[in-house]
Amino acid sequence: MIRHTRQYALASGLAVLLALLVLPGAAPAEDDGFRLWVDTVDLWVLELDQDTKSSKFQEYRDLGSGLWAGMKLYGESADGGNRNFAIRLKGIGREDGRYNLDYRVEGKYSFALDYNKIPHRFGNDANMPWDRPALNRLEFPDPVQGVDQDEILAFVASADRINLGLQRDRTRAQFDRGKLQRWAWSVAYTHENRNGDRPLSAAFGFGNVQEFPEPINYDTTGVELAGEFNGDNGGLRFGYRYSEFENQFGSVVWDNPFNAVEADRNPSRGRYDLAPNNEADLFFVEGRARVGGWWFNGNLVQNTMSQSDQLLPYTINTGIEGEGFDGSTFPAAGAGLPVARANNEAEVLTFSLNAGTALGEDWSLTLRYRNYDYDNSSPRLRFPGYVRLDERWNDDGLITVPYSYARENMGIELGWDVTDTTNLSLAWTTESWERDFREVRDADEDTFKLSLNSRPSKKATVRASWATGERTTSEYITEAQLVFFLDPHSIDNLPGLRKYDQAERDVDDYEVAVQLYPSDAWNVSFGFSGRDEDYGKSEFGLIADEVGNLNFELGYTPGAHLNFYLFAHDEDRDVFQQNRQSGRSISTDPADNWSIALNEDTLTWGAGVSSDPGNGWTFDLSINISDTDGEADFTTPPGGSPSEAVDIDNYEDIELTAVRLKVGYKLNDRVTCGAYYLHENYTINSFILQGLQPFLAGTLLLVPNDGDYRANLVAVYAKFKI
Amino acid sequence: MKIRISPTPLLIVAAVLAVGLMLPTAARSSPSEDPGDYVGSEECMACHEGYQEKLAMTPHGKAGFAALSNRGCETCHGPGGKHIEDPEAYQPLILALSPDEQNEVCQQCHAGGTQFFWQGSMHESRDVTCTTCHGVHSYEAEVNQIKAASVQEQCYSCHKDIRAQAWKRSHHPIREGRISCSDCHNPHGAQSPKMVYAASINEQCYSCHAEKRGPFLWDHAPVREDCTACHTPHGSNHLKLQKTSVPYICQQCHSNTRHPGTLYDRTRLADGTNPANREFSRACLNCHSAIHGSNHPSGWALMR
Repeated sequence: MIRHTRQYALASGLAVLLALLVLPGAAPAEDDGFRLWVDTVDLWVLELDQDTKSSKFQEYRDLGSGLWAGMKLYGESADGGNRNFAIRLKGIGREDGRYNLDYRVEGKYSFALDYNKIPHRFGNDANMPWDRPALNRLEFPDPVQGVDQDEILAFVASADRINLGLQRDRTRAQFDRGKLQRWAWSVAYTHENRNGDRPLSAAFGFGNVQEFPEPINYDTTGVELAGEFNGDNGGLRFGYRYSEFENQFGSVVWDNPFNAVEADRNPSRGRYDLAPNNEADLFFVEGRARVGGWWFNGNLVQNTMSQSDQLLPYTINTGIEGEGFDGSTFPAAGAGLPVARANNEAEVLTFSLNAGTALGEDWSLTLRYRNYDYDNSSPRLRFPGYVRLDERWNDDGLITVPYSYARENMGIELGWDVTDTTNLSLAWTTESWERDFREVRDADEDTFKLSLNSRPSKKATVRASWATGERTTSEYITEAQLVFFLDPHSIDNLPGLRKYDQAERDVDDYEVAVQLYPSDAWNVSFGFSGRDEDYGKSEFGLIADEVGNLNFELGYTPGAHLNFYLFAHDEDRDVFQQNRQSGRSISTDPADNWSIALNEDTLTWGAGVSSDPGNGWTFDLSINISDTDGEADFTTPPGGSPSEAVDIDNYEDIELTAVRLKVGYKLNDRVTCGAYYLHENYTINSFILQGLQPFLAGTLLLVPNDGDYRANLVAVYAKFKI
Repeated sequence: MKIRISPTPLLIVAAVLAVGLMLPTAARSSPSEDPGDYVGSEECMACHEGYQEKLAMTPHGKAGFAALSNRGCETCHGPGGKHIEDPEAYQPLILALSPDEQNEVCQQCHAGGTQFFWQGSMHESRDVTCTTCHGVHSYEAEVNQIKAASVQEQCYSCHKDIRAQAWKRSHHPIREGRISCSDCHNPHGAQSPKMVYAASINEQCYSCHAEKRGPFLWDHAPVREDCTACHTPHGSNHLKLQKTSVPYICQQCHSNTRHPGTLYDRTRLADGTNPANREFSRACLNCHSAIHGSNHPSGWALMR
């Protein structure tokens, strides 16, 4: 990580610039017929001015003040480039740096190395009342923990601050032999480390919720070995992939701010189980063939995903006693588990086969089949009870549920070349689900789709499609949600509710896209698209989800020296859902119903002009604006509970404006310099984040700043071609 | 384990592949092959100045290309003899060919690798050609000879709704250039839904979010089936790429007794008259934060 001060950045940048200008042009180093040269060096000096501490501007990038450097180094053998070498470096030393290395011997083998650093900042200046003797141990200071609430609130209000964010460092190395040859082989290695803090929350009860930093130190490592044969009438690919995920932190322990003495029904701390280590082994065989006028594509993939992490005890609270199936008691903080490790495993088998042929000169037929079988073969573990929120033993016996499912897709498509430039196709597809342990065992969705692709002239392209589908299901068994419990429980979800991923529905999907090229200089495109999901047969839950899009784009490129574009896009999404409020038992009173209509309207537009007048100057100006207006409107009949509701008019009102200007001047064939300006203005009025305080309604919150900002980035740069 | 695949399709595909691979090699032909009419690239460059310079920095201008074909420009454009005789009357332009014929030209060499399943792919069936996205002589991107400045800009030229979504508050780092569309999707075709590289959308997500791969001791059932049941991958106005914001997306399935089925309106927000931590900040996820699954023996309600 490099965080230059302004003075240091300017001084170092200017020094390097000066040195490069003074030095004679570096002659390509030649050794045994291999030419190596620095192609370009990019040096920028950035100056960032941001009016708030919001993390949002630099969410996935590092545009902090200082020096930004990039370089391209190329090599080539003297025999016409049979051997090639390239190094590309961008943002050297920065948190979003990217470094590539490629070496290839044409027609024989190649090696590529990619190192990609991706920051992900969640929020700055988060409220941090916790001490951290270890990254996964969050202590509330002893003098404060468990004392009276006013003192805790005062302490929380004056707590330290912490920036929350991750750094992803990705490496990929790949060796290919025989690319574009009959036989090709490849070996790839990938590794990613994620390191930092992410907001997490957990509770000791409704009125005792804490949000705290989750320590992240993940390593994901992968290896792939693959072979490929390409014949004149077909090909075959096969390989093996292994992926391993390791979490350096198995759990995080945090103090209960409101209780310092550990006892049954009085937790002084909680322990949260973090993502378990896991691995995946995958074998694949893929093939394609052309036989007698038919083409075939198919594959068979077997993926075994497993995790055998050691289980934590039921609780960290040493004051709690658990009770076994036989009535015996045990300390819940250290005994009574049926197994020591999870030993969970899911086998996924994928098979697909597509085929197609021409039927005469004008017709074509395509057949598609795919089966995806997710079989969770994890053992069904029985637990005599559990510890609720590290607080007390609950003797509801539980059993783990290895959810499994199979998804089968079939389709047939008939294509008709109406003319040489217009194709019409009619397709029927069916998707079938078969699930274990869920509310719906079987579901089938049939869809008909009509598509048009036309190039009525060289100056126009028209694409249109309309699809309509219907999903039907077997009986909806609300009791399936109780599958965790060993003993009978009464239903507590609304019997009329249909979970939308399993509900019966009607779907309409449509799209029209027109692209026109009235002349070599002009292009115009416009279109609309949408999808309507209608769950009208569901009494409660999601009832409708509709999205519609309109777009327009204009481009003008009169020659190599000028380019102008303008685009606009409007997305309008409406969601409607119906619920009924219940107390301790399910309400049967329609007066307790309530519904919510969610609307999001997002207008995105942009324009840009780039110019290269040919006198050494270049200009590039662009503006992008995304403006969202969201509303949540409630309806509830009088007389029930609830009997009234207040609408939310900021179901995320967000506006982002980004303006970029880049001006360059080519001093000579080797040096280009210029200036860059980026302005961003971001405002968010989010219902879910508005009015948050460090302590509110029994909840200790981090309240990180990822909100409004106005940022101005100014840069000067010089690009050297050497 | 439930095996719901009959062995018949497997045998059929194996037999078809075996037969296809054993068939005698059919000579591939360029659009109008006539060996007598080949004139050599030097003849082309005599008029078409500048192309050689552009090609020189691409794989098509390297010695490796020459090792695969000694016909230079005519490898793709076909014999130039007629064109030299009468440049106006006969122009060996790739763009003059039908989409299938254009793609056949490229697939003379590019039939494997990521192009393995081009035949029958969504783009192929929509008459998209290789040259719709790739420029052999003229391109802007640093890699793969993409015509636009980047992979995503190229994709946006048709997928305009995705461009708009990328500007939303919650998004993958695509517009920042840290990942691109082709990190998840294979635009040349795949056997999986939405042309993702992995066998399913979930398995594609696990390639970056491996901590959610499980299987967990306590799984959240829809998570295992489809990440896009709750998340929209290209951009959302809500936190964490949620399709609909919490708590409402949770209430689309959970309207249980007590707090899950409660109406959470303006009054329950943090600055409302009756604030509830089931609505503000992370809403339901304030407590049920292990929403993707829990490995804790006491974590069946996804709270540890």
